[in-house]
Amino acid sequence: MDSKNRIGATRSRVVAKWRLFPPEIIFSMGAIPYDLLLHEGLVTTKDDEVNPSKYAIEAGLSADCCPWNLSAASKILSKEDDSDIDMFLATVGFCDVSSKSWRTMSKRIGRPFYSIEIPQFNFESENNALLFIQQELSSMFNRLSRRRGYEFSEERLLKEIKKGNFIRNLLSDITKFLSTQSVPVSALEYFLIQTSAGDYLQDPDITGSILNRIKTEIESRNKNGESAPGIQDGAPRIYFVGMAPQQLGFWNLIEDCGGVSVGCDTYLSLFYELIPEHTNVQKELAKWIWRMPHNIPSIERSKMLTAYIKKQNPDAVIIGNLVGCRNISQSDRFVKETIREELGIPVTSLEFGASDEDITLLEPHIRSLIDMCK
Amino acid sequence: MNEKFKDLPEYLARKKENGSKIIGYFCNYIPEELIKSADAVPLRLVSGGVPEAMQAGEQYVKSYCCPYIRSCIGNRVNENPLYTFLDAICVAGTCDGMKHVEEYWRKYSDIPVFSVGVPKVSNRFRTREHTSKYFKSELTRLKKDLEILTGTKITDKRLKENIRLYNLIRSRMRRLYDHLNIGSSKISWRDIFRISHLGYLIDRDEFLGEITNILKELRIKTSSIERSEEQVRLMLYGSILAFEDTKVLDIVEASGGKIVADALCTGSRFWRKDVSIEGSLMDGLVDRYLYNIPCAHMMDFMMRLNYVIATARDSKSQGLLYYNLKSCDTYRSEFREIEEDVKKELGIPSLLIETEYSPADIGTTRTKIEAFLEMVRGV
Repeated sequence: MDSKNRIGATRSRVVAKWRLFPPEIIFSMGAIPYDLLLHEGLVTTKDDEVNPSKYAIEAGLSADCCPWNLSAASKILSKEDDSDIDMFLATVGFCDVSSKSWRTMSKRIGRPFYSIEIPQFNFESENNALLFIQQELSSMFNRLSRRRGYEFSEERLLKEIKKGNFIRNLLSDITKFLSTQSVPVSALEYFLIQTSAGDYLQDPDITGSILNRIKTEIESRNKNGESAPGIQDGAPRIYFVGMAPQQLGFWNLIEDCGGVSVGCDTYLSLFYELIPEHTNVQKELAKWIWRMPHNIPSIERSKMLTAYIKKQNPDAVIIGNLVGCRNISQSDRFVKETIREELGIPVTSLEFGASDEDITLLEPHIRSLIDMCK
Repeated sequence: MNEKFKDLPEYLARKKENGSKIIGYFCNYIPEELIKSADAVPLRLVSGGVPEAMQAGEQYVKSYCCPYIRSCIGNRVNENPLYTFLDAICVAGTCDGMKHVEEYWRKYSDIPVFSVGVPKVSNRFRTREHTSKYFKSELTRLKKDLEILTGTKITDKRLKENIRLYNLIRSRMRRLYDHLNIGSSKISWRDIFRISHLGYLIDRDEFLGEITNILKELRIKTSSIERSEEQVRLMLYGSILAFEDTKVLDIVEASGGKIVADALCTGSRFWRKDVSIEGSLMDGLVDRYLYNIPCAHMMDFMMRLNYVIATARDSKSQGLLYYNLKSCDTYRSEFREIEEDVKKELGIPSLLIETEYSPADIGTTRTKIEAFLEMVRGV
């Protein structure tokens, strides 16, 4: 939670990025990536703002659009000139609202805006899209180096990819422990661990070493057959897919209702596999970006996801839908049908908004799913 | 022309009997020239405004998805007659919602779905070269798909002929729009808007003949009724305005307003800019379709803004009506900036109307529009 304050102390430039944009790209330009939705979009008890979307709505965003974007934009806009962000890097092609809200923030607080496009739609035109992503990457590196003084080099990119892959390996290893009989990590802990993929919480070396310590501890719990504190023996195993709620309390709810979380796909796209560490770095990176699960159309994405879900041995799947999300949440039916067909286990959809009450109201729904699994 | 619209099902049935394929598409990034050159019948599917179709779409996407997107799905669910003729569908990768339309058709229909990627950062100096290349490869893929479906080779000769036809249609439609700036003209914006919609559906050769005749008639007859100064001149801009979606238009008219111009994708933007027949025809299509005034899902805000300002100025509009379908965030997020800039450049106010295909908000929408018109009149 403290990592959001680190950017104030750094001497490097801070680039606000969208959740699933690979952080090594920003590190390779000598800047610090900042996972804006995570650090500014989580609803925490520290916020005493009555309307957490106020500033974003005043700036022109719709009051009923994605609450993650609304809250994050609102917090940034409320700081006005005090923001530590030096540039807004929007990822265009997946979520319309995020590129629009990035642009709104940039304009209102007077910081540069840059957009890079990752074509997501056309699954059949892989070759066209790969070439396009490569050219987008290369033109971004050239442009930001020449115009804005970011220092990019291929060697640096490769070095940062290696650091990123180290984190990816750790996240995959930790995830594997959740597939065991006695789940050694709680739902909230696992969600927080996964969030480090967003910007490696701004320092891959520090985060890598913390994740390594966590992995060792989990490994030891696993060897002793210990579950994480608070998890009941034989608790139904739940995998979470879709839009994560902004309230951390949601993750405790799974355990409070007698279940155990065996994984979630919130940041899976960033560690679904390692980025090849080849000499033709940008080409390999483009391929990896194109195959990121969230970039693939819903039906294919669900099929790909089921392979990951299956590994975690779940008894049921929860699909999270955020009211106001025009993207992932709209494919709820396609995803539900595919997971049911592929895995043959109960799948339920939840809908929630940004308020704590929304989460409280989910309890009966989650409890009945878990009771049914029992 | 209304007769031709009534006869549309018969016309489509006849075409099908004669072996032609009927190909539907949604957004204006799909070149009709390619479809027609494959000897197929293009249908732009702009049906919306019907609550039942919108509600039917909610079986597949959420109620917080834009009503037009819900209708694009719901019209098939409810077996809208036009949809039952379709042999294939083309979907341009535009906004988030359109991606779900494509996914729906792929999963739940048994007709081929041809998707076309549309780069959203196209109009930047740094990206122009590779975005054009990408879009050209996408159109080339569409061309091949159409050739396979119809068994007709799209030759350069055939494509050139059709580009000429569409250029003629576009230029005549622009001339119709020009009539709105003639005080004594007999044609209203609403007439032209209705004609535009017929142009997405009826036989295009016949459509050209019809609008040519209308232009001839307009040259002879001018209205004896001078423009009423009491009617407030409004320009319309925003989300897609569908065929049956007349709620706001009816309220404006009933409240003493008059729409005199638009910058809609189902209106003037569709008829803007011709395809060049000099050099590569595919390059000409790329230039026309990717670099026309972009939809709000595209990143080039300035091009949209300049077009809105120029159109409002040329039409001597006294106010801008910003029509926003609920949950259409791409347009919604730009309202504040457009409002500020239009005020700054032209000194005219804007009104945001957020609505969907339901009669539930008729009262509030009427109150808003009436108050806006009173404000513009200075009452």
